[in-house]
Amino acid sequence: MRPVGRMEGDINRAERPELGLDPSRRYLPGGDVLHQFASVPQPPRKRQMHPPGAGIHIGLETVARFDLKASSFDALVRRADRFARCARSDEGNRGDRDRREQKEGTAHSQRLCGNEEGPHSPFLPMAGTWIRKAATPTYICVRAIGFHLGGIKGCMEARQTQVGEGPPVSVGRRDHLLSITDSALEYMSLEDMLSELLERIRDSLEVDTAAVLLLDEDRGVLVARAARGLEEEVRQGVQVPLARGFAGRVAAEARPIIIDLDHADVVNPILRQRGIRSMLGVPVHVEGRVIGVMHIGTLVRRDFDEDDVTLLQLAADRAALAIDDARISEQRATTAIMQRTLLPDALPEIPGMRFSAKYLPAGSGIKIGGDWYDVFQLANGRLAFVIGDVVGRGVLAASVMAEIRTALRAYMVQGHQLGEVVSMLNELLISMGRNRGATLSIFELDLEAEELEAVTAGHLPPLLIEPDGRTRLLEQTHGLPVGVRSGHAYQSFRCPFPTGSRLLLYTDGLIERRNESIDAGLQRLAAAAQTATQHPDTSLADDVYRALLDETPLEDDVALLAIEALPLEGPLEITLPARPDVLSGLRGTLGRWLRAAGADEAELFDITLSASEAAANAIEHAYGAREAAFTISCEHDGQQVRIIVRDIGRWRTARPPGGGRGLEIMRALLDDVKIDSDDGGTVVTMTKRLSRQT
Amino acid sequence: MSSLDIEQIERVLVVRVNEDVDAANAPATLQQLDDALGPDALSLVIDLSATRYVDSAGIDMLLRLNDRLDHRRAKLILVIPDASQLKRLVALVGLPEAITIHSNLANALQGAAETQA
Repeated sequence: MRPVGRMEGDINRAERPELGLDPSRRYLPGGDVLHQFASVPQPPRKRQMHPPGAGIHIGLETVARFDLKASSFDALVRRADRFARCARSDEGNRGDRDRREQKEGTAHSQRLCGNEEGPHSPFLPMAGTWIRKAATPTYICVRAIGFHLGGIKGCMEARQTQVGEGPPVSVGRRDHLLSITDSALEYMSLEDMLSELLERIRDSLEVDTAAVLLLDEDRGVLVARAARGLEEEVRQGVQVPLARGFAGRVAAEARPIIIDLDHADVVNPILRQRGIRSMLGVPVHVEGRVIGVMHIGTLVRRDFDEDDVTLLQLAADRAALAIDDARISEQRATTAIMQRTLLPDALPEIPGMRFSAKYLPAGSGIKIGGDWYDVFQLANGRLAFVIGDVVGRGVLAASVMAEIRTALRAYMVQGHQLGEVVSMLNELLISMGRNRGATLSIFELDLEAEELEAVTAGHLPPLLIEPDGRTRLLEQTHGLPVGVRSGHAYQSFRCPFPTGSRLLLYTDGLIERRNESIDAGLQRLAAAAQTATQHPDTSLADDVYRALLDETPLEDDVALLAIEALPLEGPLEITLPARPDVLSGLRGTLGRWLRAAGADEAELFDITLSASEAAANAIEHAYGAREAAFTISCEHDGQQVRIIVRDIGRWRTARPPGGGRGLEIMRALLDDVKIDSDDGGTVVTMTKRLSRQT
Repeated sequence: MSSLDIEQIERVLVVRVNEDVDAANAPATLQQLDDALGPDALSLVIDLSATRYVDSAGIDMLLRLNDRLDHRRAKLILVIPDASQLKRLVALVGLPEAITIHSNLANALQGAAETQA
């Protein structure tokens, strides 16, 4: 750590007592840390600029230097930017709580360059060239200020200092520069900040209009985000295609462009309507990528000079930081909301079945993944479940995922066969021109028949764990991913799913590891699933997750969904809402229970149908009563089955069940049917002796 | 929104039911069949081969449908395979006295054709 040129002289240690912070703090990647100071930021100029929240915001100012020795220029810039980001957010060195607090007052950084003789000047990467053609610089300095709410003891009165000589601009301009780099801008919302920044640019550069357009990467257009003197542009949501028009060219060429509107190609009619004559536009960069354009314009002809370009580029850099921060937090929030809405709220609760699922986004959860799963009950009492993965990540992948999820549910509810459902989905995606493939596996489970039907479309094979613990990958059919080729026919296959079976659906992130074949991953999965069967009390998804992913940093999103057919023996008691749509599911569960109890096909039919009649009657009783429910209790002693259906809703009148025919059927199919009805509800007790004794 | 596959073969409407018919879907199924039946249809064949359960509401629905068809001088024919548990059920409630039942679709279609002839 050695002092650097004038920077040392400018920072007056006596006025700004150090806090004894260790300058070689681990969290700062690379660079020699020259100084760290705590300070209170300049008093905000306007009232609304006060930092939100109580307490004092402490600015932690860090200055570090990166030597331009062997490193390439671009690499050094990236390192310096990474450093600035860390120093600004103080990431990696503090707990979540601090990070949250720190979010309230955010941060600011500035890049400067210089050499052993020359002054530091603001450094701006503009299409990889130095904006100032001064003497060859030998280092880059980064000055970063992170604001932290309270906390640092004995904070002192201190003023934010200028580092180095400042930009090589006139004295008047220096004030303008300050107005643009003013840390108070940090405390504003992005909208307010951009408006305020543009207003200050308008004042400083004495121009009539100022606007920011941001690049929508998915669509390849620039969208007006904030404007002063050109408010119409934002109101109309002006969009400029990349490489076309003025802003489009600035973004595509990633360099400042000055034009005279009298002889220029302008896409946006508003610019002409407004009577703009001269314009200057600069790219808005984040980490070397163009994310938008900032432009200014005048109603009288004007020759913009190099200082104008410098200042506007500085403002654009300033805006870039805020935009980037806002985007990251916006994306995080969007991701969280989308994931909440795109995954089922709750997994079904069905006696004798266990559903478990995990969804783990990779990385920091900024970008939503294209992985999803879904479970829903069909009108025929069967269960449908799906796992899938849309190519790519981000909001667009998620929206395709949402479309697929909705389409699958719609086709399934209409009662189409599974193969048809996937074929229809395939055609739908192609006709919508989504240009995004997706892999998926879809299953339909018939509880009573204990049978699965499945279609896979390019997805990794689901893992079936048979009741004896053997594992098997279900790869009977190999359909193409959906959304790829029109006319592809998807075939379904069936496989038995008796009690004790478990099915694990997953996306590639669960098994794929760098430098490892898929087969190795599948073997690891099978081993983990087999081990999991030794823990019958914990869910399969949890066990597999723990075995494969705990402590492993995720390289990709992971979704996993497990379905387990648990033994359904002994007494059974189910409480269901008094709605007719529960009947088919109830019959499925009863069928499973009766089969386990040793009933033959005819007995299973007779008892299930009779119980369903009694349940339908309980539902009819409760008609109109909100949140009414009924309970069905089943028991058997190996010879005789007894099923009791109780109304537990609030009743208006208790009527004899069946309206005649229902009761007639029950009496004919069972050995005995007893009905006790009073003001509290109705109790139907049904018994039948089984021929095959267990 | 019940799962019915409906196909018209000349003046015979053939409907394959892919799910149980119970209190939950009987009213909607009746409506759907009524809508599907054209003014000049002579027979309606309901194939219950893939149906596991029909409850009392479903039986009522079939009887009401039969009445409606009677008024239009059309005929209702059911397909219930011999192995189906439904065979016992419909016999129990006396359905065969009101509605013609065949054990497979081919016979049912032949029966429908004879009616028309």
